[in-house]
Amino acid sequence: MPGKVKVRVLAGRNLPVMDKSSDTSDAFVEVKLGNTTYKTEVFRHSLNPYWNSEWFRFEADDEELQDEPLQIRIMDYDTYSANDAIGKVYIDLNPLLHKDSMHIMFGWFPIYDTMHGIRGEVHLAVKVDLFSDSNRYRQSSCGVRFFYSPGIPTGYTCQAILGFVEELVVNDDPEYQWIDKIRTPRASNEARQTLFSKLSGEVKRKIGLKALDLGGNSVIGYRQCFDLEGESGIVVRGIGTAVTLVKSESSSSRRHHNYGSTPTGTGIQGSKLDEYEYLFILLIRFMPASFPIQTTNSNEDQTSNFTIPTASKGNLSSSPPESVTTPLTAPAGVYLTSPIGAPSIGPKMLTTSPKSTGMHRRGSSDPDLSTTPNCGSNHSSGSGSAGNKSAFKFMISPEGIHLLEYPFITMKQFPVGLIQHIGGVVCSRSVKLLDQINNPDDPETRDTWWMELRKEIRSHCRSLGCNAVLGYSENTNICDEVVILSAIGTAVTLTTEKEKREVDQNTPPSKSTVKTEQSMKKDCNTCDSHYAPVNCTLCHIPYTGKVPDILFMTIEPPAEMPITGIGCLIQARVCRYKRDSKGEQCAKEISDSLPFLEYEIHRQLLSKLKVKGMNGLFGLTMQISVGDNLLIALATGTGAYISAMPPPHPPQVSSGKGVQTSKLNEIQKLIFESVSKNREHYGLIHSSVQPSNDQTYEKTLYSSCNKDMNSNDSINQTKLNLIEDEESSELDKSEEMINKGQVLLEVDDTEDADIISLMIDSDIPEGYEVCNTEIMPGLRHLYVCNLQTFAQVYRAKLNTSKQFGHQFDWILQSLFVKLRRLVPCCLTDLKFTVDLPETDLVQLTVMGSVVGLGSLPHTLTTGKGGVTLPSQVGSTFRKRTLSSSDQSDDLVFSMDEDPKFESVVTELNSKEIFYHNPPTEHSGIELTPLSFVPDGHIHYYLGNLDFFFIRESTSIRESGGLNGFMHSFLSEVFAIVRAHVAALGGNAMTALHLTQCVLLYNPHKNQSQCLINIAGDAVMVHYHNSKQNMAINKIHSEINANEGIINEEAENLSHL
Amino acid sequence: MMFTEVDVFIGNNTLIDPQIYGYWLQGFMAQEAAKLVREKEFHLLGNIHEDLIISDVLDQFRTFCLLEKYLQSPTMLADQWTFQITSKTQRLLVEKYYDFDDCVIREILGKKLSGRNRKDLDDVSEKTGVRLKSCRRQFDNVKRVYKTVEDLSGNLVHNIQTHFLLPEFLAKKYATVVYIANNRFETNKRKLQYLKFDDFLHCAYEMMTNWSCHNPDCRFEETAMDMDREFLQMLRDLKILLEKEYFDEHKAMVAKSLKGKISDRILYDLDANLKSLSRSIINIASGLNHSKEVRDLFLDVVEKIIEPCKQIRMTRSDMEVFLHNYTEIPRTLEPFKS
Repeated sequence: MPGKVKVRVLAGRNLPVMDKSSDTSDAFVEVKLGNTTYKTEVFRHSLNPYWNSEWFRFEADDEELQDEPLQIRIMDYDTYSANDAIGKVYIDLNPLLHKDSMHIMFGWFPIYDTMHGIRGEVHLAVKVDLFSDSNRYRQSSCGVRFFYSPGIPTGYTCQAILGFVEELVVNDDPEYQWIDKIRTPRASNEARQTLFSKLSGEVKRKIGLKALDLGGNSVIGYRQCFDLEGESGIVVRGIGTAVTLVKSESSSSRRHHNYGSTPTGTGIQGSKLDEYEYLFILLIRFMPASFPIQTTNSNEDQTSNFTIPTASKGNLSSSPPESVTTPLTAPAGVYLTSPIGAPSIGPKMLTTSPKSTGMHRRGSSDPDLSTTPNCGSNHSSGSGSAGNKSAFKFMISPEGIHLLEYPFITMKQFPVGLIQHIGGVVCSRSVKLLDQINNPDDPETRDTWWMELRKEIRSHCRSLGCNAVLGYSENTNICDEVVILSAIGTAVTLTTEKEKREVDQNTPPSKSTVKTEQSMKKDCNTCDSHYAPVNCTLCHIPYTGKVPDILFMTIEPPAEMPITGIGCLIQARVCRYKRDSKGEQCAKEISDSLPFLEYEIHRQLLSKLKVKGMNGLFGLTMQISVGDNLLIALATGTGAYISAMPPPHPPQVSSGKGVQTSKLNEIQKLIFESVSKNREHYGLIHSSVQPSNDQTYEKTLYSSCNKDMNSNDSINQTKLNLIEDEESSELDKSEEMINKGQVLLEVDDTEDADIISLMIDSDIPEGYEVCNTEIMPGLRHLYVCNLQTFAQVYRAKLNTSKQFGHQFDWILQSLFVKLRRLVPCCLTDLKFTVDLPETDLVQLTVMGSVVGLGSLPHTLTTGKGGVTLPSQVGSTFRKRTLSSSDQSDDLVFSMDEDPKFESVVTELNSKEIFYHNPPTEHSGIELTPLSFVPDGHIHYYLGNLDFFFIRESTSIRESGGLNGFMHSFLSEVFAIVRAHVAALGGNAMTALHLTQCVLLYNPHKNQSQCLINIAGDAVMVHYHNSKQNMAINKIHSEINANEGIINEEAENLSHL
Repeated sequence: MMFTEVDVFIGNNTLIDPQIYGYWLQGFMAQEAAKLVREKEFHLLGNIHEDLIISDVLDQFRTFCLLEKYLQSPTMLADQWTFQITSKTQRLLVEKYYDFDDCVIREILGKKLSGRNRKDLDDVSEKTGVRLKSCRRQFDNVKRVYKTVEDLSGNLVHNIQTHFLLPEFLAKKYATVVYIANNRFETNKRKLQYLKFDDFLHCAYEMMTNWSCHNPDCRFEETAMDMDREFLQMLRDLKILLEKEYFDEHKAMVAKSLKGKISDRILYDLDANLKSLSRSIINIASGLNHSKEVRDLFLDVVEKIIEPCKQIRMTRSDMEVFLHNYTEIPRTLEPFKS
């Protein structure tokens, strides 16, 4: 599809003063695509020029359209000397190429200069007209859509997951070319930015081709990395999952479809019936309709009475116990008749539907589970209705999986029923030397490296008896000429086509999820390291015995996996000294140390998780970083208690000689104390029953529920119960200890003892939750609004390697201070990156999103009134926040409506707790690392944006030091991203990620340079609660009427 | 502890802590501000390490520094991409940035807004107890507003509001300050020291509304800060009141109208002084045609009107009644009847 690109330059504003004598500028604009350049006239003596140019036309084949960025350069005209550059705008044309696109973008773009940052703005309009061309031998992949989002994009149905696609291109880095010695820093930076942009386009184009070859039309879970290898060049790598997406027909309620809710099983009829049954029950409950608001509140409170912070009490009784709040003004009948009402009932409907079979299942008992992972509380309910029942067809069949070269999927969120077993994390690393590449420009060497690594992963996966690797990612770390390549993923068994059908017929998908892999091979914990090519690989398996009691995963918590209580951030940090060696010696040393690092990391994760009383770790990421004298490993994940698995045993301490028993006991006591404290804090209640039998499981839960209900009467009793639990588990523990010979922590000297006390993290203050997954396990329903998305860059000198771990605590603490105005909130999707720029210097980059937590129940707006959704887990949270002031509240459960208790809760609520409500006004552009926008639903994907910024300054001291430099740079980076999203007609960017933040500082020259790579999906979001949807629609239709509006705009500007 | 080289936190939404913004405007150092923040939010931050609070304050301070260039031309604030700020916060930022301490402005009032006077601000700072940084900001704000509206025609308050997006009350204040600055009124003589900023504010505002030309088709090129020349010329005609025949009539009628409203003793004293008083008033009025005399307006009023009246122990209400009648009566006199 060759195409025509038309560009019009309308005006500029707030340009910098380039002519000091007259305090103005004589600006003109150069527009360049490929080798064609156009210029506007010079607009003299103005800082707000109005060019109103004609449409500049470029003709380009689609290969060029995909690879080349449109370059807009704003210049200051100078009669006597060379014209001065004011700045540039790079426009990636890819978002305009897919066929659903408006093919137009326009708006004010910040003019960016690598030496000065943003210098005013330019108003541009860009249009692309594509001609169809069915050349079979084409080199382009126009029209293949890319999504950074790690799940199936909202509004689409996934027809097939086709497999892993990857691409890698290598080029000279302009910074290291000979010409760099004679050109200005600006020229060099711009050469780099332009090149990086081109390479990024090229990688995407090539991956698109591969996706097309596989028969797909989109790539999701896309990740792209820039490896700055230095002398040996620049490598741009992309990985993703090729899929076939079709736009799902929007349901009557205009709610977006989301995959998770596509019920795989039971016929439409059945579940529909159930919905109505369910509704009916709800209605009966609230028949004495038209409650005054107060009553509503008391109802909400009552919810908390009969929900308990354990899993799955919910649907045990035949009547749905979740209380519904209530647009009490709306006539009840609406819900029965209107299909719009139905979805609003939400996740519970899905879960209740299987009830018709008369069986009760774990998976369905916890409303929290059934929601899809990629959407917030509100729209998760999206499509419980019959509208979206179009079945998945995964092209992954047993045969299919074997046919795939690499059965890897980069996605992290999956449709219900896809995963059958979860094996565990597989991980593989290798250390390579860059200066041994024979032909630097040749991608083959790196291709081979990655191939080795992938094969390794594949064989680990197979040795676990699994057939696929999910949540797969690849990373590099470069230090001088040594590069560490890592690949990590979660080995799973996917439900194949045939099995799936069986499952569909007989049992709902949720049942089979957490059958844990039993045939473990212990010998996988091997580590083989060769030398030259230095290669170290190891696979670690998160099991300590035959029966897995701990599960590690790189994926998001699967929607159907039952979770008890709330999750929390688990982080392991290891820092070791390294000799100051170079080249091969260095590579060997690293390679030798890696197994120890991995072991240490694993040990820390395991014991931290156990101290938290949790047994599952989601969203695990691992980073190995090498510096001049330090070697660092960082692993981050979100711990949670998976209801279906046995409770973890508290870590036991054992000692060699030389440590006093009293000290040992002290440590052990400390551990037990924090375990029980954590259990209470995170709402984990242990039921030590194996998940082998649903019936028994259910029964125990029921009984424990009863037990808890009794405990209602007296707090003391409950506490007793807890203690009993404790004892019994300890007993269990000691038995198992004998059985398995499992000793977790060994204290051999005082240093070890210190480390152990470090395992017990400092408390998270009230009002905050922290996780690195998108959804905090157990808090799905409470996400009400996106409050902030932040990036923090922190760099400090270490005096000893021991301080390393403290840096993270310090950063978290500082985040709590900085975000204190936003409580109650959840810090989600935290991404930590460590760099070791210089000797003893550690740089941490943290990016995350702050989501406001709402009270329960909160209203789901569905257009017409709303049904409010209470959630068990939600109330757990609430109780927990309350519990600090009143313990009794935490432990009270009652099925009957005890008026006395109600009043207590109401009182407590009114007393102090503040909750966020979805804002009714949304202004500006939201950026979020999540793949959804809380309180909104993604109406439209506008394409993805990938920016590589370079900023340099030779007056660091004058611009507020390194802090001032970074502060303004990061602010501007966000600003440019927002401007481009807006120009595409969007109002948000999802799946935002900052893959690179390199900061070079030369204090003697007062000079610094920073490189940032930032990317995400530009989207248009409709907010449930907003008055502004209308306005957005209007803007959109305006964009549709494009040319007219641009002319209008031009006219408006001319009046200024 | 270790040495921290970089510590920055940037949010997509620029959230402003009004309290910390206040400390920044007042010119506090980050450490001082952090101390105050901890005191204010002791229940939350009581046990928090000081450096963490300082780090938060510094984040905010850096944002303010970067915002400052937009605050200096507030219309740009809404147009820029760099900081995503809700319009409510934008208003707050601008309003607080342009807010000033009356005592500081009182010192600057009527002075030439020159670089030299800016350098002398440390005296002002010392005298008022307001930090130098804050004094400089206030000085620069006045100067900036003055420079912007200097050559604009039309309503002064309105101009300030549109160019600086200020709320009306603040725009009015600036209008008066700028008015005083433009006319270079002397306000710092020792005799005028007792006058507060509000006193000048009131006077200048009255002058602005009553003495300026509001006719858009005026033949003179007058801004809202200049006095209406036609009006000033008309003031010359008042001299006729000093002529004997009119003065006597004027005096008699004033005395008559004041009878019973002012104590006899004061009336007696007033009667004795009325001639010189009336002359002073009328001379000041007609003198307004000469810019040199305009500058001394306040001084003249104090010296030649207020002080003599004080001497005869007239009260404020006496003064009001007297002046009211003094100015109303001539309307009925022969030369002004038309």
